[in-house]
Amino acid sequence: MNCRQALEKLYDIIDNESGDVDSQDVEKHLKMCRHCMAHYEFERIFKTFVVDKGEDQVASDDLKKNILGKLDEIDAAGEVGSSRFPFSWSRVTIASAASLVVCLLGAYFLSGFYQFQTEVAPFMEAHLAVETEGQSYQGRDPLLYLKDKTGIELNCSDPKILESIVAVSVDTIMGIQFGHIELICEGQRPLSIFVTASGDYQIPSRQHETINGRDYMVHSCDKCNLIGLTKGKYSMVSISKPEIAPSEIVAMIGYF
Amino acid sequence: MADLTKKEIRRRFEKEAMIHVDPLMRTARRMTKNDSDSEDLVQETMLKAYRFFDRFEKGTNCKAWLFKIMTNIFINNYRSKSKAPQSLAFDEIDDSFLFGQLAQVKSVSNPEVEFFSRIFDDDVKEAIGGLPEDFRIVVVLSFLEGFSYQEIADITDLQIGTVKSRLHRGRKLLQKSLWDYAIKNGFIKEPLN
Repeated sequence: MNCRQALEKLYDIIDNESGDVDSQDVEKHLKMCRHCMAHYEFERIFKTFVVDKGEDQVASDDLKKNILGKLDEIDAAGEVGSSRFPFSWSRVTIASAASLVVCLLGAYFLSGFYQFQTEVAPFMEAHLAVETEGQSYQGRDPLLYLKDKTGIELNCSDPKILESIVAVSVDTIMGIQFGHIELICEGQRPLSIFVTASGDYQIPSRQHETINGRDYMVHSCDKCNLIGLTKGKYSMVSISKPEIAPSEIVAMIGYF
Repeated sequence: MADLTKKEIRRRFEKEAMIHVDPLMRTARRMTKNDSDSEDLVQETMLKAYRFFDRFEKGTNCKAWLFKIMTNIFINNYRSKSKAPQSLAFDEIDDSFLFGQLAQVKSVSNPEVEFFSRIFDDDVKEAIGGLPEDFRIVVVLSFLEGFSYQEIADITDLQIGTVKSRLHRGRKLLQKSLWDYAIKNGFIKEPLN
């Protein structure tokens, strides 16, 4: 191993990311080369230095108390629907607060709806129009349902994905029949994955990019050819390259 | 999971998730660069996590799961809306930038000791805060929270190669920024090339 090769592995070693073989090779080199050893020591100290200086005071007790208080509210909100309150002034206060919340939520959803209609819907229409929407199935074994109905067997062994499936249906997009799987993964936005007959799927990776001064999230996917942009809180991915063989097409659309 | 009672979920959440509020807060401060935003971000993260906690797989990495939720909220709601494309002259900074520069300093007998002893907490925090967001998130998750490359890739939905290259560039930018600071404040005299 020469100095250049050792330098390439240097940060992997400092970040505890190198394999045993690499580590041994680099260590061997460092023992022989004073310059690289000095460099390694320096980078190691630099990291420790940043970690020490970048530390911060811990979260305030108030914040933790606030969070616990809000958890109580969430817990309580789950019970509100099932219990009937006797009339009292405090109930009236709660009721007015609740109506205010309902109004604000209404306004929020209206603005979201407006944004969806003006910005997202045209894009979807152009690229991701669902021609036939299958009836959504929610049950104990959505994947069995999908297999029975279409013969599509999802090639997925990730228990996190399998457990987070909330509904399954069959949709047709651009003349191709897809298994449509809705997921809510790890507290993220709900996702829909469209799986083709081959059962392949991939959740594309996302990356921020600025295009014409606007912030977009660009989706990329190496297993499937797709383009997709997220603007604001909406996320969409289109299958807009008809030359792709249907068995390779996997598309995703998701939004809050 | 589904048959967990509400009380059990609450008990498990307090036991397994609440202990991560401090690290979340530390990272939120570095992400938002603002105390009140960071408190809001952490609170929003915890409440969202609680709502979805019945879906969290027991025995998996709760800290990484919470950071993923927080990073997602930050990217979608908090990061600066009008992000101008940044042109960064990475090529000017070589791989051993700071090490190489300090090695050339002749004005003090031990430039490394001088450098590390004259830079304070706030200077480092400011340098981290000055990193472009994409690099800052990765640097903070790796340096301050000690997440592995793979964990950072999972948290940020990036490919592992992208994580490595952002971390590499972030490290170089951080070194450059602290070096410039040392020169500006005169405790290191720039070596003549």
